[in-house]
Amino acid sequence: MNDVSSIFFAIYSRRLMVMLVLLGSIGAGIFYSQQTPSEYLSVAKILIPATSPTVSLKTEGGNLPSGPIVPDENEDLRVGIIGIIRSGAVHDRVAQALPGIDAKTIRKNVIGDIGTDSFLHVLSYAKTQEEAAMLANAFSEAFQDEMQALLEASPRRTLESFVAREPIAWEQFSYHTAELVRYLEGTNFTDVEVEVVNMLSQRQAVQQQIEALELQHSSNLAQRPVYEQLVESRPEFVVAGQLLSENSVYKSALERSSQLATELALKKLELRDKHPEIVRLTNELSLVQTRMSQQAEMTHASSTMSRDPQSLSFMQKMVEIDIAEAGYDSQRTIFEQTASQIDSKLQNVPEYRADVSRINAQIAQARNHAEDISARRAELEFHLTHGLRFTMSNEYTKALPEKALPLPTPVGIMIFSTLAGLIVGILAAVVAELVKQMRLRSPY
Amino acid sequence: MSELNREPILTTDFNSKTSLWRGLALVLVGWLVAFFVKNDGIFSRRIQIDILGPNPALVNDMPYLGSVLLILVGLLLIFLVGLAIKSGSIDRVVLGMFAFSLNADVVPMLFQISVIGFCYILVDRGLRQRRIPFRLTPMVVIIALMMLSYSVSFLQTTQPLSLISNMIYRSTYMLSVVLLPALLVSRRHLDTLFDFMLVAAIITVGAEIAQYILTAMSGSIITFSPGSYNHVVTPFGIMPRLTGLMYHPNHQSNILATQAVMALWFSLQPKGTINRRRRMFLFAGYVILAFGTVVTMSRSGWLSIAIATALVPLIRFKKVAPWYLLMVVGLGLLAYTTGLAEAGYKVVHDLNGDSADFRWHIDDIALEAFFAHPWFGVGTSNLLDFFNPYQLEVHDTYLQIASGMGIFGILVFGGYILAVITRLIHVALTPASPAYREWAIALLFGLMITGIQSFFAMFLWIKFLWGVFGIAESVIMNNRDKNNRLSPNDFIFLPPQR
Repeated sequence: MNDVSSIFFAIYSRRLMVMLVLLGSIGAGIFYSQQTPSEYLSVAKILIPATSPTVSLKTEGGNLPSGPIVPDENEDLRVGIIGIIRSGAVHDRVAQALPGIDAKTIRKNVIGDIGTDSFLHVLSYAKTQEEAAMLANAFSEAFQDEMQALLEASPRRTLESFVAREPIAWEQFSYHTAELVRYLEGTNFTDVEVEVVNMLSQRQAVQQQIEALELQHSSNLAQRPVYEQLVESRPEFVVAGQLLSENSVYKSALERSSQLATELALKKLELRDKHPEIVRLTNELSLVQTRMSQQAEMTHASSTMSRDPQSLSFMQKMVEIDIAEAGYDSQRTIFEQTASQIDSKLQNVPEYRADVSRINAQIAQARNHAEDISARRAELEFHLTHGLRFTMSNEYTKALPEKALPLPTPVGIMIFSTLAGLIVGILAAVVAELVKQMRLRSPY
Repeated sequence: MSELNREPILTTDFNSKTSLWRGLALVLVGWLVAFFVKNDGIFSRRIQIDILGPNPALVNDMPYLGSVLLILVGLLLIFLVGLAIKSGSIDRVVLGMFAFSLNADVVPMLFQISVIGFCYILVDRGLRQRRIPFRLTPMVVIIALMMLSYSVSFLQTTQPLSLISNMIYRSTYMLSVVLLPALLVSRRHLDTLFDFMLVAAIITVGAEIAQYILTAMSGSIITFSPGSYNHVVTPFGIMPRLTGLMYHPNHQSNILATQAVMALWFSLQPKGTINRRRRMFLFAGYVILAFGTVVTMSRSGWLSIAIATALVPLIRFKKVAPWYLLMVVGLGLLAYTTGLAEAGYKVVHDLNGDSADFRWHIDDIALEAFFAHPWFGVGTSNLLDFFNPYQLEVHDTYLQIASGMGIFGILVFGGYILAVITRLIHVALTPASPAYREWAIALLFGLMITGIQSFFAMFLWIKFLWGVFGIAESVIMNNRDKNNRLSPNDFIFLPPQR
């Protein structure tokens, strides 16, 4: 009995055993087929994009929930979405929306799966097609609400934080601005840099004045003895002016000469040079000119005497030098006091500068911070007002009652009951044969 | 056959009333089958998603999957029981399951079921014959020390329950070293087991081919390993790392390369020692398994099988060994001078360069763990908790022992491995029969494969290694007991068929 036919023989010899098991399975299969369908399965689909929505231009991305909440192309994270479904949070939402259905029933009859189309499938089991479809669609909606709520949870908390921090940030900015104003008031500055430039110009001008004063002083001290010597070398009085007048004969001859020259010129236009009139005028003119040259010398009319003006000038200069020298000390003292005041102010400039720079930096920082918060608050408000709903479902992905699958199918029950019954029957037969052989080989 | 076809003499018999109850019970079984099918029709998809998760395709959207599995399991059991009936006992079925389990980590509990089968055979027949053929080897003491070394991990771990379950599960692997010498008492036993192993290994290569076809068809890599190491980046694109029926491509390459090189050694036995048909079977086995090793894309597997394959002719054909060696050296020099060797090395080195780099980091952590706890290590499987930012296991069996069990573990495991190798060498030098010499050298080649690959991956708790140790122990014990050899009629396991 060591060939294959021995096995078939063993099965055949226990055909009753096989038939009984088969009978039991077919009978029960027919019984259960009569009761089908006992349930309906309805499927709603949800598309979950591979990337999450971008909330902020800046750093808000880091505040988004990560891990299983944000959908990703990575399969593990999608499995995480199933984890959320299994947590029961979505079932509880459905139970709140459908108070007529027991929460435990929803938990038992609705499950999430990922289909070969990469959509999230919501599988809903119920006694009727309508109930199955309604449950699947309600769950689909609740799931999307839950995902949206989860995604928005962190941005909402961030927004609350921004709303609370925004006035504080602007107050901080105002505080630093006021601090700068107070500081500048305390230092009598409006602008440190401009004031410093002014003070430096003023200080330079004072220094130039002092140097000019010193130069003038030295010059005065050197000039005065020279002037004294010059004054001493000058006469006390000198001819101050001499009056001269023209000779009257010369004057009349000059006038006559002019008349004759004019008349001669006019006559020459009408008469020839030999004309007696021309000759007469020429001769007369010649006489007049001779006479005029004879009477050309000037006649001394009168002369006056006065103080030597050069000497007077020198004396005047000496007076001026004396006057200048008289004011030298007082001027120098004033200039030096002014310079000292400016210097004392300039000594504090580095400290002013550091303080003002610090306050300005604080102001800039506070302003940037406040502007950032305001911008991000506005942006978050915008996004959250519109809602972070990143999943997609529409009429085509919804579960429809007419498409609900009846479970189980009578054909399926009959086929698998028959096949499995046959196999189990044969298995029982061959095991019985093996046991028999073992007992025959090793009888107790 | 005539004897068994006679009317069976049953120790018990059923009267009509009992037969009725028996019939009703069978009908009830049938009813239960239909009840199962009905509920499977309703709840199948839900249960599949609950158990398997929502990972799409193929599995969790299949209607009546439970019923299909019931039918398949039933057919498998019928096949196994049929084999048991055909072979006259459950011995071959248990031995086949054992051989298959060594090659199929993905089938849960198969190894343990086969170990239970071995124990049943030993106890049942031993009690009947009042002779349990248990051969106490010195290795039992070392195995006890191994367990002691493993137990020290309880002082370090924060998860003792997880550790104890792991320890119990792994300690069943060690039972091979104790059980197999009691069962495999002849060359026939050893050859039968190796034949089963070879067939099982060829089946896993078939599984590799199926994985490749499914991968090519679906566009996504379908193997039994996680996504982190199921592919390799090559100059020709991303290639799948096929795992056959193992979880890790390196383990798959290890079992295939080990059995391939043993098959090659056996197939090259001198003329007259094996028939042509068996030689062809063994050599075909080598070719198929070598191909299976290559497609795992395991570089350590490639290296080890290449070295072993190159060495086999050197040991086998002593007369032509110098010429063979000269040829191998010549080819090596040619490859080196033409730059072919360097180019080949570069291509292999660049495959998954990151994988090669991270090993150094993990190995460094393992060394730190060893120096931090030099005597007993950080505990088996505790390296993940020892400042290990990568959360990865060490990729070196020697460092696995050193970091996990310290100097004590090195001494115990090193001593064990050394003892096995020296004793196999002893068998090879002083064999009781030429067959044991063949077996000893084949096992040395097999252990060499694991020895090389152990520099690149972990193999300590792979049941195949302990299966090989068990076979080695059987060979050593059989060779030792050459003067007290049992008559075939006294075999408890696989007695000669009448």
